[in-house]
Amino acid sequence: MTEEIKYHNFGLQLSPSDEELVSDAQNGDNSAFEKLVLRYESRIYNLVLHMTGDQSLTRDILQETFLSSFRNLKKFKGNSKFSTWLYKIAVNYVLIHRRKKKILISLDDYKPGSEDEHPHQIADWADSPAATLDNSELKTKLNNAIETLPEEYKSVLILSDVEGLSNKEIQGVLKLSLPAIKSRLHRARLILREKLSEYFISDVKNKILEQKTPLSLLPPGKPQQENEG
Amino acid sequence: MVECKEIFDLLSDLIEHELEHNQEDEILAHLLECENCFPYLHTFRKTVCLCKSIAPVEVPQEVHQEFWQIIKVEITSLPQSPGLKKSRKKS
Repeated sequence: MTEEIKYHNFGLQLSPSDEELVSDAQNGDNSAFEKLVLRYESRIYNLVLHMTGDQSLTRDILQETFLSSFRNLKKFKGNSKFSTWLYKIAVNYVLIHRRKKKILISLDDYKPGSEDEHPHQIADWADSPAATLDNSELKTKLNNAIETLPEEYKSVLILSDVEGLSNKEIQGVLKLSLPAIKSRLHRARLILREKLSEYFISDVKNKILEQKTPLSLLPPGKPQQENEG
Repeated sequence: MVECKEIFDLLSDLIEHELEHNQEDEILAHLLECENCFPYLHTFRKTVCLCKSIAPVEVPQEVHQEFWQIIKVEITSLPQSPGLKKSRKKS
C-alpha cells in the first residue's frame, strides 16, 4: 500500500464547489458538511502534522478543527475561501496548544547564520542525485528541518511552500501584512537551505572518508588488532 | 553594481519573478560572474522545490475512523434545519 496520496487540485474546479457545499451545510444539509470534511481531512491532517510533528496532537487538533468549523459554520460569511477559514481554525488550535506547552521561540533568538556574511566556498548540491525526495534520508532531514523552524517562520513556510497557499491566502490565515509574510517566508527558506547544505556537506565528507579507507586496503585476516595484548 | 548581500535578500523575489526586469537582469548578470552567489541561488531554488514536492501522507486508518465517529456524533446531535429544503437540488 502506498504511504502517500495526492490531494492537490490546483486549477481544477471541484463539483460541487466548496461554496455550494457550505451553503447547503449552512441550510442544514449535514451530508454537505460531511463532503467538506472528506475534502479537507487530509489537508488539515498534513498541515497540522507538519506544524507540530506530533501525531497524537495532530489527531486532537484535526477533531477540534472540524468540530469548531461545524459549530461555527453559520458565522462563516464567505469573505474568504472556506479552505482559508479552515486553515485559520487549525493554525489557531496549533498556536493554542503551543502556548499551553510554552514552547514559543522568540524570533530574535534565531537568525540565519549566512545572512550577514559574505559566503565562502558554497557547495552546489542542487544537482546531486541525492537531492530528491526519493532519498528517504533527505526526506526525513527536510521534515525535521521544517519542524525545528521557529514557529513564526514555520507557519508561513508550510502554508506557502508545502500547502501551496498564495501570500494573499496566508494573510487571511495568519493576520500578517504581505511584507511580513514575504520576509518570514524568505528567512525560513534561507534557514532551510542552510540546514540542507549541512546535510549535503557532511554526506560528501563521509563519502570522501569512505573512499580514503576502503575495506579492501585493510590487511587480510588481521582486522584492527592494535588494542590487543 | 549589485552586492552579494543584496542578492541574498532578493532570492525569493527572483525565483518568483517579482522583480522589475532591469533589476532581474542586473542580478542575473551578477550571478553569472559570482562563484558564490550562483551555487547559493541554485541550492536556494532547490530547497524551495523540495518543499513544494513534499507529498501529503495518508491519514492513518485508526485516526480517520475515530475522527469520523466523533464528527458523526456531533452532526447527528443537531436536528436537520428546516432550511434544508432551500438547499441546492441534487442531481
